[in-house]
Amino acid sequence: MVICRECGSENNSGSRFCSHCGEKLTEETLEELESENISSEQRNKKKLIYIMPAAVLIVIAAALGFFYNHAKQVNQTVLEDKKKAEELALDGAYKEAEKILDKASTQRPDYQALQRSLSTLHSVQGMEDDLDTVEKLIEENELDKALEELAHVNKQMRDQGNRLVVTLTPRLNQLDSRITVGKINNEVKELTKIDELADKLNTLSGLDLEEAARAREKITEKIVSISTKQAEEAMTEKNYNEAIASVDEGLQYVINHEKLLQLKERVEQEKKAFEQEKQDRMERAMEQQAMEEMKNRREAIEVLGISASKDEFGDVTIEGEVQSEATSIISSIEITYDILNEDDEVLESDTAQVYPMYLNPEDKGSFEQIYYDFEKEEKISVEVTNVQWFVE
Amino acid sequence: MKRAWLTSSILTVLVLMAGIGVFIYIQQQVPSQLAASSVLDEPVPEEEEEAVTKNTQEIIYESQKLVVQLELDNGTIGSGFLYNNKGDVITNAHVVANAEDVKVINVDSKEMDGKVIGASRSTDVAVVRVPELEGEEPLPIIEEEDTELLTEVLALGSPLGLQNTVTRGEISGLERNFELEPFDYEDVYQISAPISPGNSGGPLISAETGEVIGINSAKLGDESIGFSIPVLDILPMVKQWSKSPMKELPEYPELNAGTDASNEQTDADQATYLIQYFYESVNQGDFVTAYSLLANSWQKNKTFEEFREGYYNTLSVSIDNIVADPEGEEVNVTCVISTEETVDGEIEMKKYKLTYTLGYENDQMMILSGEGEEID
Repeated sequence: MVICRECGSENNSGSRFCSHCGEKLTEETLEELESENISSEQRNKKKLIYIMPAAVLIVIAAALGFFYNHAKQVNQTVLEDKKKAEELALDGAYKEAEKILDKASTQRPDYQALQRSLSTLHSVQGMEDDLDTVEKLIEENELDKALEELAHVNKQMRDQGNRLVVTLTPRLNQLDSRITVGKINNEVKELTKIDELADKLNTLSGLDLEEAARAREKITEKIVSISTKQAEEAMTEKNYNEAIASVDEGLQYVINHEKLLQLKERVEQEKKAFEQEKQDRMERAMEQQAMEEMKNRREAIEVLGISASKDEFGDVTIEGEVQSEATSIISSIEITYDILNEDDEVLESDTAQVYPMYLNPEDKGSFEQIYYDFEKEEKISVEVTNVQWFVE
Repeated sequence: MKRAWLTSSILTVLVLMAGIGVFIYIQQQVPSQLAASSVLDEPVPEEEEEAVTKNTQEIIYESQKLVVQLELDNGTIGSGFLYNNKGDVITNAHVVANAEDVKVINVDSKEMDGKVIGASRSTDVAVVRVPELEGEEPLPIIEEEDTELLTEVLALGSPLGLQNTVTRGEISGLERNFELEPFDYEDVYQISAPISPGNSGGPLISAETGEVIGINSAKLGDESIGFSIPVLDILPMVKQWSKSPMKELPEYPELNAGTDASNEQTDADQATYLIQYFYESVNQGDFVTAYSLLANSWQKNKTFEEFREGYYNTLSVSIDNIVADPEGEEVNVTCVISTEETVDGEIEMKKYKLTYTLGYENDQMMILSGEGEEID
């Protein structure tokens, strides 16, 4: 290859003239060119010596850059994973959080925060298991044990007091409420007093649980039945105000309960009927007493018979019999009578004492009086003019 | 030439070594750039509790607006305080007993109408709804029962009708229990502030926070001892009434005037008196009165006529000896009586030993049953 000195174009090495500009291609030029070629080759070789470290430098720099980026990237993912895991954990998805944290910690085993998060997570998972045990105990109605266990977990939670542990608090509270409700349910069976039951109602009113609502219902039912029973017992003993008080006490907790309201009305009606009945009876008694008294005063004595008879000596005997028609004892009965002759002229008025002194109701008594002055009279008759007595 | 090669190799090795160095550096340095700490392990941020301590004057001023005076047609006076924004006023049941309509007077002497919407038979608490107070901010109520002895308190109310009286005192006793028919006072506070009738039903307020602690209540005897029912004990029940007002209010027959006298006597005294009265009536021939002392069940089995016949031959009765023996709610009375009876017109003296059982029927003591026999 020959290069024209004039125009610099390339010509075949045997050519004498430039195929481009026509200038003569001299030996000299050829030589010159050849020597130039040699020196550039030498220079190239020299350059090559330095290219190697440079190339290595570049490659290593690139590799390091890549590696750095990668490491940064891993950091980033680890951070993101950590954040995600923490969010999950705080939301209660402990298993997923654990998986992510495990993965992250294989990438960055020396990152302390990951280890701490993991250990916190593990201890919280342990507590969750404990809470599961508590729940099982509650379901088996082993409430005292459940409460003990719960107190234990609660203490652990308090000791740790970190943000993750706090996420268990709602569950802990719920279990605590369930134990309270369960205990109340157990106790309610044995309670027979309204105020004791009402105490339990007060306790339940702070709990927002389905079980609590059911327990409340059970207690109110029991209050209704107790207050009904008490009221009915009091009613049979005619203690109506006590009965109403019982119903009212029930109504203060089970407001406007239909059956209790009806019962109250019934008690009131019965009370009224009772009082009316009593009043009627007493009125009747009073009327009767008044009538009896009138009778005892006015016509307590019936004179069954009175007669006058004369014996062979001319003595006249007046005798008679009376019966008490009174309703109480009467005494000192005196019969006043007229002794008449055949012309119905009054010969004498006299009074006789009835024997015995006291006459019980329906008892009979008699009286007798003898006169010696009526020998001359042919015929003697006698007529009762008055009867006197005392009512005892 | 050879020298150049040597230099080149050394350079390359240097570069490589530097690269490895940087690599190791990166490997160690970059992970340790992870500085964020474990969120899960962080302690719970503590909520700062603001202890609002108001000045006593402020508390009194704020509270007084929400304390009202209650007046009944029969002249009963009491106090009450607003506890929710429905216009519901808590007071004592004995203040509004047996009444439905209540006159409510606020601090500005404005008169309003109130209706009793709930009252307890067993605890001395009632709620009066005042439509005109609806929407009004109520008095704050203590949230947790942690009242201790010697807590400084203010008792608000209208003692003896003197409106808006404030009395300062302290809690001088806890968990006092007593009974004041028909109410049970359970676990109530004893306070050093005196409570007079018009004060009853007013709030007991913490002098520090202005929160309601209790409902001032009964006073025992003439000494100036006040009592206060812990508000948290009755709040759930009271809230129920506000939610669903009672259609029918409880009755308090024992709080009607004029029935107190009989309560002063013991049952045994009452029973003894009744038997004496019974025989006195028989002796007088007032059988109606005697008969009226018999209980319903006895009367039903024995008409007046039959009862009367039993005394046909009795001239007089007198009690020689009488002993009353309470047993549960009943009283057994044993007595020996002498009678004069007429038998065949003759008076005979006889002695009987009788045993009666007395008990309450429709709130009255009655002779429930009796039997006896002649003794020689």
